[in-house]
Amino acid sequence: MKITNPSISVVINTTDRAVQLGTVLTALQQQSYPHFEVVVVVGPTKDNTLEVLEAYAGRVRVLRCPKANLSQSRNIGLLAARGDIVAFLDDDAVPSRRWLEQLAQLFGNPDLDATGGVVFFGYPTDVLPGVQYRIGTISALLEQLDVRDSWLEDLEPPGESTHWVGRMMGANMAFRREALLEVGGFDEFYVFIAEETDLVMRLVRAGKTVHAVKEAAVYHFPASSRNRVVFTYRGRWWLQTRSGVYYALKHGPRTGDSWRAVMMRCLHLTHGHWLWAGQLHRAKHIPWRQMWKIRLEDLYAFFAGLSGALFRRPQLIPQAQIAAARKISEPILPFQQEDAMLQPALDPITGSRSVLAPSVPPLRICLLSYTYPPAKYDGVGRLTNLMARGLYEAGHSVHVITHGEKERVSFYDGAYVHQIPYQLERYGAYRRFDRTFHGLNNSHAVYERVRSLVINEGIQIVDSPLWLYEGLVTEVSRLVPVVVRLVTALRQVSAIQNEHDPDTKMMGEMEQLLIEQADHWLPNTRATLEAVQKVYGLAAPEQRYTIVPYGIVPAPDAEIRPFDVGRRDPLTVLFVGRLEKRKGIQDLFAAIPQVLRQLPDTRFVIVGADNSMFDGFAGQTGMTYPTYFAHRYGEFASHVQFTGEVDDAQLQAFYQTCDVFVAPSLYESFGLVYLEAMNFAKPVIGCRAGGVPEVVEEGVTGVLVDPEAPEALAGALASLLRSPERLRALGLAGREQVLSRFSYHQMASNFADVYRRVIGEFKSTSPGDLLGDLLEG
Amino acid sequence: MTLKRFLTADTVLQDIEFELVQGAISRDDIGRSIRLLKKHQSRLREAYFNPAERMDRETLVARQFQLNDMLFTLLQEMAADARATRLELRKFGEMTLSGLPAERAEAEQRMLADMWLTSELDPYLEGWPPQDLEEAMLGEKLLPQLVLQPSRIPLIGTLLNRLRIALHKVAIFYVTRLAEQQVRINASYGSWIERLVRHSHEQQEKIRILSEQVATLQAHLETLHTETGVS
Repeated sequence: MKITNPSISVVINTTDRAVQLGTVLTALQQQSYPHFEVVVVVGPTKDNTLEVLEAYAGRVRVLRCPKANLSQSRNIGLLAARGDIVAFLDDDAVPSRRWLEQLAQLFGNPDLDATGGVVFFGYPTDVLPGVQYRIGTISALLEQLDVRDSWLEDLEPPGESTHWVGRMMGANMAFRREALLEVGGFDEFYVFIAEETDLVMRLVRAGKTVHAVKEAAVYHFPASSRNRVVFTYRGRWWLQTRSGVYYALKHGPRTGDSWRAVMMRCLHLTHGHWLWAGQLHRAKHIPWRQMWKIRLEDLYAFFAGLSGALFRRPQLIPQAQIAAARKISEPILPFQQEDAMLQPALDPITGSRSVLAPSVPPLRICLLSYTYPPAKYDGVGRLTNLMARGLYEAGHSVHVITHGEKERVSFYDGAYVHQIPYQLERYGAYRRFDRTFHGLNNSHAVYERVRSLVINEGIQIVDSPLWLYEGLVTEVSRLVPVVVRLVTALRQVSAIQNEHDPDTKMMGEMEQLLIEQADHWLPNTRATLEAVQKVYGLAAPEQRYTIVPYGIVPAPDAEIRPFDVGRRDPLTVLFVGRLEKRKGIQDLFAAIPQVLRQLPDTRFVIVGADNSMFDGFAGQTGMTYPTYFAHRYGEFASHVQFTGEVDDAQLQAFYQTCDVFVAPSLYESFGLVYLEAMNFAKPVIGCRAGGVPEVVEEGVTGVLVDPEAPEALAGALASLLRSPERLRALGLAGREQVLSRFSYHQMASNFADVYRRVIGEFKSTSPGDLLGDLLEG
Repeated sequence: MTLKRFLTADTVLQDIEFELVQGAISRDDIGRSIRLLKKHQSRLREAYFNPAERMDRETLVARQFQLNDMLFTLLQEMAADARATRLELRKFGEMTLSGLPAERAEAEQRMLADMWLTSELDPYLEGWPPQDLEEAMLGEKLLPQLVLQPSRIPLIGTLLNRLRIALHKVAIFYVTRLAEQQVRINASYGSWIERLVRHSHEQQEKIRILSEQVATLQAHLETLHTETGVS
């Protein structure tokens, strides 16, 4: 018979990790399952752990453990637990929002006695593996086989032992309380390491069902403790050997492994550390003294484990205490408060949260972007990062799915970033359309992670960029609503660049499908919307789209230098963009001499990479753009500086020091460069093309001219350069617009409003109960 | 026979839905079966390790065989599932290859008229090349791999492993040269057999045409014979 709503005791064992403990307690306030209590067992701590816990008086049961012994601490928590289920969570781990909801669902099955979910290393670093644990197996000789997709993939795991069981990880494991009491809890010989494995082995031998699952995620942010110092090689590694030798000797012979295999394994455990210490020393990570310290401690640990196993009985909970624990009939102490659903998102690394207190429940949003910082990223990656940052600062939970060579989940700049690889194992019919084939497989991998995020985090909406149609498979699944950020369509670009191969056409079809299937469109300007509609022949009723302009990070006031009307020194005109026809560089070249004839002291700075090889200019003239300018307008060359591509810091400096910004693009769907100039209170000159008039307010923040009209451009430039008052007024108005309309906070707020509306209107057609699937694999 | 498969937006949607359904199937039955197996195995362990009812070895072996049988059944079910999936895939592929329903064809062909996949479905070459020949023609199937059981002897194990790897590499160097030569020979064999199969097919086609011509001529002769009365 299925058990509904079991009560859960979350046991946290902690010593000297006050900051991390505060973070995990904050995270527990956001759990979607309310029927749980929190038991914190504090070891011989030397920091302000007890002060942190004072803030939770009346909500958390605090117990003390006299020794820094994790098994003993766990047993104290177990004996005090009042819930039907006891879930152990590390003090430096943060559970996913539906962690307890999933555990409750799993333990609804009366056959299940123990379970645990996946553990991700949450730091954005390549030093650690991405997935710390997922459905592992372990032998009676402590041989591990982790990260397996299926129990049937490898029926005979490699190793010396003949006896293998499902492995659990202490950072994320849960048990039926009665089952734990029945086997006597944890063996206190284990100070740390292998205590959970020993327990599982005993549970299995007692006929209990242990079944780990792929989901029920916990993000682990390992913190330093007296046992180890993170990101260094300092630690009490000998405890691993002591535990390992003890474990192998206790379980190996009992489960049919030969004494020879057991002893060899014990020697290997010791020898492994011996070799490791040598490797560290050779790589100059540790001095020779530390190497020999590790080795000698290891020898001691070998004999300690050996004598413990041969001459001591397991240090389990005494029967009298177990009997007393069974008599406890008090209800659990509720942990969550009424405002649990209003809690803003949490930064699991620093423990900080948004300063804005939401008045309505914050959203749980998934953003897609093929590239994303801190790895190499493109324009979409940069925008997605700003969206994530703005949404997080408004209190929303954000998960970003991006491509990566290996699976990894880390917290970066306000969002959990899920790097996912994809296998080319589906959609074989499209194999000959290389980009389409890759795109579909990537979109499917994205869907699978979205599904996982719905299970773990209760994600409510997915936001997909237009290019690469990453959200397509999720749209078709109807699992959650999907909105699409519209930008210049691939079909527009391929027409400009004269690309008509079948693969590009197919990509265009995918893009059209993505738009058609989307629950809502989010163009950055009306011009973008109209262009996409035209190129794909789509109708757009008003309720189908919302125009959300992009935003940028406002520069600090101290860095802003509005034009000084009293200045008399030569003025500087700045151009930023790729040197190519679409950006209007040829028109600017034609305008420069006309300006210099009227204002000979003017200086032009042209920032951006030369793209003459790709827009056909080099083919026609045999020259790059800078060479062409020098050749064609040699007498003015000394007034024009070509910088090439520059880094962000240099670009900011150019914006800061220029007097006028010009970008006569023939088409821009939005025109982020104008905003960047306006951010530094600079007047801008652009063309009446694409979305530019929606960004630059003519006569207020800048001047607009017709595209491909160099004379008009020169006239506008000269006129503006002659008018110091206008330079100042337009610049200050631009800065004001950035702060009021185009900040990333405003952008995020606009996106959030749309998301909330779309979520309210969405009706899922996804079959079945996702959480119900958990037990099935 | 050359068939064209038009790739359209509808086809893509069908493909995506198909892949989504495949994912759902694999999560259901197999996971449940595994759970049942685990439960059974746990009971067996409990019975065996419980000192009160210490199970004798024969009973244990009998139960273990029973468990093995269950595992085999599960594997069999999985294999049947996999076969069914392959058949589904094949059917799906053939359906799309055999053209589209008439009412949809026009609209979809208009959408992507220049985008198609071709598939040679020559009945004589269906199933060509045979799997063993295909493997023999692939270089990586024949090239020897370094297969070493690492020594687990503490302290000197690493040294022994290095020595053995070096010796194996020398052997592999010479065997690789032979294998590469054999792969070339196999590829040549494969190519000639393929030509022969094609040639045989063409011959049979010619024989069929000639037989038809002979039959026509015979009919014509009989007509002439009837008309002229000359035998």
